[in-house]
Amino acid sequence: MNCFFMGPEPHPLYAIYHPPLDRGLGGKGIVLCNALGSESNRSHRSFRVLADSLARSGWHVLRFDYRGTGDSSGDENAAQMGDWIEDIGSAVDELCAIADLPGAHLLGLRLGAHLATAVALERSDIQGLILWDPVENEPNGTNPPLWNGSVDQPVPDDLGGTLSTTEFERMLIQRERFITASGWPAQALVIGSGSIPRPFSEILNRRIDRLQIKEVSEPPPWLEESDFGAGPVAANGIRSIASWTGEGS
Amino acid sequence: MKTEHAYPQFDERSVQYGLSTRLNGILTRPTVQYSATRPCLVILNAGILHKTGPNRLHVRLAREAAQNGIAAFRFDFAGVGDSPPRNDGKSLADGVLIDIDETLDLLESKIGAKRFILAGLCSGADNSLRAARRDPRIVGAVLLDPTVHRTPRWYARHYLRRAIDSQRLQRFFTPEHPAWKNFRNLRTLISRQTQDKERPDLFRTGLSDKQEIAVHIAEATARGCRLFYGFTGGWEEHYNYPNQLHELYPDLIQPPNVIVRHYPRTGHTFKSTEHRQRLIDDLIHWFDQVGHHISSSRS
Repeated sequence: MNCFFMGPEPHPLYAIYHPPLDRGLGGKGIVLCNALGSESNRSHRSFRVLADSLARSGWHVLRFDYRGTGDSSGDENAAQMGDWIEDIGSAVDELCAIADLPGAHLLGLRLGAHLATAVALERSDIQGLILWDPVENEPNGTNPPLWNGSVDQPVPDDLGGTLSTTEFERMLIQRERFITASGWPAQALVIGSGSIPRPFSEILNRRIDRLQIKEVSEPPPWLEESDFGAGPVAANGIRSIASWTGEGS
Repeated sequence: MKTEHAYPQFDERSVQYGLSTRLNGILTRPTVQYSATRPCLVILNAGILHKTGPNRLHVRLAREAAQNGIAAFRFDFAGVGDSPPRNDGKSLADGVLIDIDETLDLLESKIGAKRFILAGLCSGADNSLRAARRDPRIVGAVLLDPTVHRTPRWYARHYLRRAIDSQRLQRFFTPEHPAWKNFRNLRTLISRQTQDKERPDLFRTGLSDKQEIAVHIAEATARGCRLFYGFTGGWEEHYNYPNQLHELYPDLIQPPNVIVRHYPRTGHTFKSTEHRQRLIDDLIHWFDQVGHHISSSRS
């Protein structure tokens, strides 16, 4: 595991590269896209365990913090959605350069799933997509909250000022565009810590050639486990992702 | 891959180090006004939260300290955040002290720091005090919501507040009140107790005995280490009035060796930007006082 700063100098991003421990599968890489706000802090343990697990199966794994979040540069109140999409692009470029790969998979948790989807639709080198508990808005397309429990966003003060209301709304509007867009990766996995709404899976089914939807029954990694600020390690979710990525995805 | 990046007034560097375990940390160093004679700030994990701290408190504190000429280092204990678990067979409590030792050794050799201020929230506060008792290089410790014992006055205030809360009183006589619900549902009670027992081990590296805490404060301050205690409103279940610590340890809690700040409107994890900033401003001011104290005791 190597920790370092990456990306252009005005906005360096903190990243952790997990090199593959078993090269049996050949060169495959995956970038993990965090949730936002408190959900990111809570799910840090699960991402760490997931990254170790994927590295043990031969994957090159890159975790990183978006600008204005975690250990990366920038102020938490200044970053915007477009910046975070750009940051995922930088992370993909970095991983491909480190591991000499032609492309990579993306995994996004919660709002990170939206950001990962935006990047997957923009770039042709995204080979697969994993959406873990993506935030889903109401059928009428108006207000959160949402699928898989309430999102305790967007309240900047309560979150350490990570996401403004405007940015949150923009992300949900963006999601409406995603579902009608073309250019989805050929394969994707959707993991739900609870039940996944049928309209959501039907939409994706129409757009992705090889789509697997997996519902796991366990407390989600992005919810506070007790009162100490961290979420549980989502063992079933991690196992499902490891299984999908090990099936020649 | 690069390990560092520069801001106008400080640079940040990712550091991997450690003899017993490969620890991960970030050094935030001033690019101007830096002097190795000033104490270096070392920020410890709060429980099992990684080195950014709750709501990025540790990131902001480190960067503001650096902007004021103070080098700051935040890292993950073995088995927390981005540091792998230790495999030297040491207990968790001993392991934490070993990790702190190795961190101070690293900073001594890397940036020439000779004096340190440790800072921590919750279990991080207890670990700071445990280290401050034994290591003469530590000249200050910031203890935010540490283990603290209740006093008779705490109970008086607690129950008085509940008694005068008329809404609470009304709710008590409704079937929805948790007391009645719990009485009816023993499973909830048992599960709550189980949940408490299942708390991660890092919560158990702290101090639990009142006398033991007194010994730690006495020994740390006797060799000139200054202590900054901060208690938030989120710690109200343990601390609910400004003078409580002084009443617990009247001979020991004396300024300027020990100062106490009470932030009754602040939550335990400093969710509000304004509350984080207020704490940081107080700390930066206190760091200066510790720095002056060290210079004057040397001259």
